Amino acid sequence: MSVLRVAVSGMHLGENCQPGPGVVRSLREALGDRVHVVGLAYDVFDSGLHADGLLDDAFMVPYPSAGPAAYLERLSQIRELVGLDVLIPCLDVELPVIQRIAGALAERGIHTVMPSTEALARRTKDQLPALAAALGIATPRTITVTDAAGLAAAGAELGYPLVVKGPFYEAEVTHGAAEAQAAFGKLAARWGLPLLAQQFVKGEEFDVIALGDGQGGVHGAVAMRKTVITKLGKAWGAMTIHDDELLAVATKVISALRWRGGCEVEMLRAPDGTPYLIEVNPRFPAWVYLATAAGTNLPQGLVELALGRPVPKYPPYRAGVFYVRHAVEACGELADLESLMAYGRTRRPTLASLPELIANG
Amino acid sequence: MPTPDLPYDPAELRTLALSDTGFIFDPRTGHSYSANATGLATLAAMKDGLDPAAIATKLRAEFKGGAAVEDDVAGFVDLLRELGLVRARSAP
Repeated sequence: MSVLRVAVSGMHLGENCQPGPGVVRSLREALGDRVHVVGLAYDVFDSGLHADGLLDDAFMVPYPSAGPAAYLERLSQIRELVGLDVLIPCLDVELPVIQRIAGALAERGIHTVMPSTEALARRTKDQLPALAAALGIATPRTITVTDAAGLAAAGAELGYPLVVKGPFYEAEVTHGAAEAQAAFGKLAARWGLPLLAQQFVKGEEFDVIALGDGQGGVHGAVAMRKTVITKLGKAWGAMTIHDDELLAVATKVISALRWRGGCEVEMLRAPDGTPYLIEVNPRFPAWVYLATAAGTNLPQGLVELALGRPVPKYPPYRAGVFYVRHAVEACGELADLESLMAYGRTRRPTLASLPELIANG
Repeated sequence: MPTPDLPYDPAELRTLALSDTGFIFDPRTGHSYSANATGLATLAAMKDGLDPAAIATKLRAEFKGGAAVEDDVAGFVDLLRELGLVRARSAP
């Protein structure tokens, strides 16, 4: 029996949950013991590193800001140690770096599925209004702001409530000029400039997860309605639905971008029924396992796509499948931290541990 | 078959999942509801394309309804409209 070795990043389930654990869970469900999962982490306290039964092995990797060369070197080291067939990056900031080294990774036998550079650029938050307009899809009016005066002008034009958004992550709904300026200061300090000021649209929040084939087609897509939303706007609970209109909007976007790989299309449905395009996220979302539970295992399809094999046709998914997150404490020992810090790898029986050295004199 | 003489379109209700327990699920939105026995019977009759007068007659036969059953059916249809389960449609 050949065992597939798959590396997955985005391993933290915290206030802002990352997709890695959901991807891993989906792969295990599809492949059982025919998959060996290697977690890639940026912080020794990434929760997935310490969750029972999730990963077979895990390594620390440099932040994407260290650049493509450092990233390639580390992945090559990991491949030498444990072998890697497929890499599934699960964080937005990794994609530009991995795009640049995808060819070199393929030469080393590490397969990836990446959207094109153009597709990645056309779905950024500041480019989304142009994309939506070209496709005839409604989207909230958005103004790029670089300073306090620009924000005030945007507030005057778009009115309040006003959504102030970071370039990559985070958004705050503000209800007046002073609140907007405070959010601007906070988000600019955290994410840099420019920020985005966006018209507030009231409505229920829906997401569609999908796997694009890179030719304008969609291998599979699942729509959900958020049922529990955190203060950060994240779905802590959701339910799958059959909404042909939302699926059609998502398919239109993916088709126009000729998207290759996993993605999430976020939408709002206004009280008059109009769907508004809010964001296109360039990887699977943290709730990816909900789609698997509903009968559409997209990470499995992505692995097939990465290996150049045909993606199995997905049967219709079930509506009414729901999740609610259940946070538990993942515990570890000092030796676990030591191993991650000293060796950049989760604890192995063969690695000497500091507590053991101390105990043995 | 279109039924233009009804104040609702039964086709809109056909995707609703109705359980004998009174649990109702709308797969288009993910919203779920619960109904009592008369509400469930009314919904089932609407799905079957019965008009309000026929529904009232059916309810009177199945339950011990009084004179106001027609009003109750009309109120129930209004509630379904408020919930977005059927769209507004003017009565003939």
